[in-house]
Amino acid sequence: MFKHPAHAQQESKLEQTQALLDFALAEICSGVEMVHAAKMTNNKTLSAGFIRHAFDEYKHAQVFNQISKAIAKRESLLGLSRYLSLNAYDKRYVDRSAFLFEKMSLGQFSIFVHISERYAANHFSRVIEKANILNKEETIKLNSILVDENRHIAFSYASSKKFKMTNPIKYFLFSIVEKINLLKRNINDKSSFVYNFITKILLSLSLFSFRIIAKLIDKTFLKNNNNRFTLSSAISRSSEMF
Amino acid sequence: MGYVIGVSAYFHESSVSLFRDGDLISFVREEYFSRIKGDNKFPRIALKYLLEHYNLSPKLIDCVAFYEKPLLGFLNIALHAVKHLPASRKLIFNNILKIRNSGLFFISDLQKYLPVSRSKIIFCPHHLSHVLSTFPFFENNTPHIAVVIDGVGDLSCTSTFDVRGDEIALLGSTTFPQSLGLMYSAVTDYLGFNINDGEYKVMALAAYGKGQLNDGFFEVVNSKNEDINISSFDFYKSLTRSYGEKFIEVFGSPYNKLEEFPEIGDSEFRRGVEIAFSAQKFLENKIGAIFDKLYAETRQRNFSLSGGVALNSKLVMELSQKDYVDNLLVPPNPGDSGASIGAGAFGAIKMGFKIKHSKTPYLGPTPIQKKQKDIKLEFLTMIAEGDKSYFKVAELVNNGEIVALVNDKIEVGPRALGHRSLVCDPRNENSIKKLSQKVKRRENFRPLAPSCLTDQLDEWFRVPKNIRRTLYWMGCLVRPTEKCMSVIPAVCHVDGTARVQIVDQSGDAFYKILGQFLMLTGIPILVNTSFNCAGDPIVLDEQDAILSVLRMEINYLMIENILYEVKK
Ligand SMILES: [Fe+2]
Repeated sequence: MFKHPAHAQQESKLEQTQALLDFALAEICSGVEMVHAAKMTNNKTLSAGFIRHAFDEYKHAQVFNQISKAIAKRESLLGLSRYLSLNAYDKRYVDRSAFLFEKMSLGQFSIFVHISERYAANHFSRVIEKANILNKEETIKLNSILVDENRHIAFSYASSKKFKMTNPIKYFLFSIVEKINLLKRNINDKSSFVYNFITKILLSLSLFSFRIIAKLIDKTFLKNNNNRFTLSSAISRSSEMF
Repeated sequence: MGYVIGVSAYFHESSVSLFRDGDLISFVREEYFSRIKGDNKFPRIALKYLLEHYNLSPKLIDCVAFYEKPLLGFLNIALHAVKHLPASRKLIFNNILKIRNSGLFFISDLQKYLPVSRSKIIFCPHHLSHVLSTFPFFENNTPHIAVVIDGVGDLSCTSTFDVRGDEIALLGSTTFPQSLGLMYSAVTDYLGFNINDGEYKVMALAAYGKGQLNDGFFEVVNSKNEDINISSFDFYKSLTRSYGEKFIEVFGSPYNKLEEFPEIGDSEFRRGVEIAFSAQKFLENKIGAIFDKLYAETRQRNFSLSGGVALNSKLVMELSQKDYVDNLLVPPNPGDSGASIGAGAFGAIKMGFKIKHSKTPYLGPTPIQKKQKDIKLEFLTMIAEGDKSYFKVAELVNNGEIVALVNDKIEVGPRALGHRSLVCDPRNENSIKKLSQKVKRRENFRPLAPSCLTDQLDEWFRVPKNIRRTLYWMGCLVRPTEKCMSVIPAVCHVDGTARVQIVDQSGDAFYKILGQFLMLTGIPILVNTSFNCAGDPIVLDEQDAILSVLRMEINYLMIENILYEVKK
């Protein structure tokens, strides 16, 4: 898991379960990043390794998903968000503009994976410790994910260490940059909440003027636009966005 | 020169299409590459693929056409939402917060990845994109009536056009929020499925219904003067719910989205299927009436149907049974993701090209990408190649195995047609059950589709002539013959229908495998379902294929005509 869910202080059963569901989505996204790395690297062994890593991530996603669904049923929880990989963009587990391997060198990528996996594993083990919604079987299943994650940490450490031997200064700089990025992402999550909140207040204030504008548009613009048209009239207006 | 690119983005699965001198030569969905199902962002990776694969520079491109008028669409939805304030405030907030991922930014998004001048960027009205998306798939330039029905385009929800070659004229349209597509999506939402994805589950459920709730449903949904009674719906004002309070009053509490749909036999299953049945019936009646009226007014017997609603293969079957319909064509990707084809055709016509017809539905990338490392032997052991491999697949399937096929160009539409398919023996109930429930994790109320050699078709399925072409891409349900029902009942749905694909491209691996299976068993049919893990897009290349066979625990995989066994 490269990018971890933002829920740090889960309290209610719903929040705890939502955190598990978010972990599922984060795992899928790491799987997606790994598949991408497997397709882009020019090293055959690494490519196969990335596919195996992706396999683990997708398997974890399924475990998280099943467990959160089982809890939701058991505890009659309502209001969990839907589990769709498309939500990954909005939750910013995946970047719309580039996959990690598109914007990072192999060395940077392994440092990134190492730092993120280590952070995520810590975060995740705290979630399991604090959770009071899991039954015994579920706790065992989740702990087995931690075993896999520790293996990933060891692998990515080994590969980033190779990079460290050849480029110690770059390694040091990348590590610092990635740690700052990790911190920034957490701050971003909080600041985007504030941003959304302020936007909502501003929007509420301007809703009245929206109504007036809407009436104008309705009368003048849309009604004219629904005139009968032909392919050739559409071609002659093809450069217009309306 | 002569290259035109069509783009569909920001709403359903994004895609790009490429025309060369009026010939559709490629179609690529963003989700093939991004591996995020339903990916609706600007299709930057798909576009990059086209530019690299066809060696295209901005200079070589005549124009790039977007599949809707983005400003019109934005204003249209915003206008209706504003009218319903304050109930619609969340919907408005959401649209504004997400405005960066919308068609309003198409020009700047495009120019970031393909620096063409503004004069080369054009916009095709959305429903016209749908109409034109059928053009490459007609066998010739048949004059016809084009019917477009979707959730909502830039302005309209239902439109009809008179089409005579490149002369296309709008006959009539219904504007938002009078949307039959969104009516069906609201029922999808009520039944606990995801909108834009679960509609085909509603269609499958409807087959179990008897019509017990028809009167109540029609009373809630029908409107005397318009398509739907809009007061029963919330899709035009709510972010979280598509159906209105009236649905809950009349039909009881909605289905829990996080739980599996109830098992067959459960009373909640019965309630759900009756609602699905009525929604399906309502849709068929309304669209049937549109067709009747069109025929009465124009006497035209040839039709095309596109827009997302045309993915409803039961509806297509009902329409094809109208005695005045001589020809009904539904393109392989009638929904929004396929509308990039229509946008591309629009651009090509604008540049003076004639659209070439009779295209096959295989227009995407092949499974072996030059840049990728070959890791097959890390995970797979080769068993057979060439002709032997086709026989071996038939033999494995006959022995109850499920085989994954990844050959040649990927399909245009949402249905796998043998190039990215999982196949098994249609007689073997255990294999089918394993494929459906364990491997694909599908709901047990959904049937699997059969693929059949065309020259054997009549023995197994009753196929009206007017819909035959659409069966190359599983666009319509048909009735199985008695022989079919008794020998391979598992491919027939509970209402006595089957969504058959016909196969007759002699050079194709899938055709050869079907031929070998016929020789071995006397059956020209295989069960065929898309090769993807639940929640994933269909596999594109060998790396996706390898990861997917590992995840799905499938033992055999054919990649580009070579058969492999998966290493344990
Ligand atoms: Fe559409």
